[in-house]
Amino acid sequence: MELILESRAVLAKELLHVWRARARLVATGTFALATLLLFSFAGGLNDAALRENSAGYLWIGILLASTLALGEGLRVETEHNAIEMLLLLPVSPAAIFYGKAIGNLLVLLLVGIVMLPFLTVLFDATPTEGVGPLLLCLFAGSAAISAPGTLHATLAARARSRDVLLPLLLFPLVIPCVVAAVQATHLVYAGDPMDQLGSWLGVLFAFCVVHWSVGGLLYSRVVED
Amino acid sequence: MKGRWELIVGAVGGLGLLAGSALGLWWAPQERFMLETGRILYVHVPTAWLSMILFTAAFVGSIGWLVKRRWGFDFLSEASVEAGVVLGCLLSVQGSIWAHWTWNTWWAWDPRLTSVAVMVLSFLGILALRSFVDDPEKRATWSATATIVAWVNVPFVYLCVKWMRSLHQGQSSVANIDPDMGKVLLLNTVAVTLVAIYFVVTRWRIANAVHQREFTE
Amino acid sequence: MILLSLSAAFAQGMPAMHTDDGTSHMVWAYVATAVVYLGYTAFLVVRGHQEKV
Repeated sequence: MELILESRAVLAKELLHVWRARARLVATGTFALATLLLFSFAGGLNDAALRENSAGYLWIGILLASTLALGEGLRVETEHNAIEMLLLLPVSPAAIFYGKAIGNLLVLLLVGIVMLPFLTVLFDATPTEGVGPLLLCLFAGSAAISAPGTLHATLAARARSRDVLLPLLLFPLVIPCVVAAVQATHLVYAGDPMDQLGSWLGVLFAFCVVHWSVGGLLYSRVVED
Repeated sequence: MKGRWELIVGAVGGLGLLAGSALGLWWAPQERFMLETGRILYVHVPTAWLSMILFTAAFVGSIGWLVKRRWGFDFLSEASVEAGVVLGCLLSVQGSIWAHWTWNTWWAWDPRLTSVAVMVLSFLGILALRSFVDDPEKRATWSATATIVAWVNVPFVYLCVKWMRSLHQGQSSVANIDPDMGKVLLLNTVAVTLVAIYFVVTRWRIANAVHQREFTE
Repeated sequence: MILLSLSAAFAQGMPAMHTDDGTSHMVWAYVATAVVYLGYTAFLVVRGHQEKV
């Protein structure tokens, strides 16, 4: 109960932070859209291939944007030593982790939602299974990226060469969640005659359960040192 | 050189590996389907076994460091991650060479091959993390955290690649193993385990020496 | 990954699938194995010497 209240307070702080740096948020979204455009050229402007791979482009776009979004909040906090200040407050490190991770989840979700109409416009991809399952995929995938992302962004923010370090640590970790999210999203777009959507969402859910608990457990070690 | 017991262990392991490989190359029967490439098995399986053990040792060392705060655990973690990455790279190369003959492609998206590659990549990131953090205590804690997360992630990688592949084509089958082949395999597995002990202990001593130097400087 | 590309470069001359019994592939795999095990041992010996272990 305490944890939920504390996490909510940290989340409110994170969201305020995002709101104040909203120009940065817009830039991150634009970056994600630019990657979509680049994928179209990399794919040789082949309509059928682009439609077939649109789920993959969506998730790679979100993942690339996440390296910008995840690092940002922590960069500012590290520069002003704000993490130390946060730890002085009567808030558990786990609550800081959950607040930050939920904040990152919302940012990634927002970036994903902004990208969706462009997928339809650029790649002619329409969600056959409906918008509801599509949003569910986006939510599950963003949650799966944001937990290890928050943990590793915190590590990377205080090491040297943090810009290189975050993707280096994060990308191999989220490969399973990219695989599962892409497969699930692809099924939503291309149709799911064999009912496989549930099992891919299940993998994402299991990934989230493991990484959200491990992150909450280990975060105190990372920030208290 | 005094008290370097791991030198003897390593020498015995090295000789065992040499003998086992010789037996595998000339004495053991030819594999029925994989022909001569089947002999890669004698170095491939032990290397695979070893890299799994090393990454697990790194995981244990990381937990140990976070719980007990003894430097020995951090050295264990550092030593095993490094040796594990080296052997994981070798494992991918061996698998790739084998795949080129068997499947006529350098890289097949086989769940085992792919999970090893992803695992090596994750642990390479941890080696990079180590080199980017100057404070020894932070370095130990952060790399321990990253190691635990990377280790926990391995089953997901395997499962996802396996599922994704299973929608396209079946898995390759493993042929029966002749008892003579089993013997050679066992000899080599024991031998590489000894070699691994030599690797980890030596690397542990180096980490310890570096640590002492860092603290006296 | 460096190793991977190196071995790919070495193996340029390797024959394609099943035109042989796989001897050359097998030899390359053993060569790669020997290089890695001996190379890492050499690295440890040199580092150990530097750090006066």
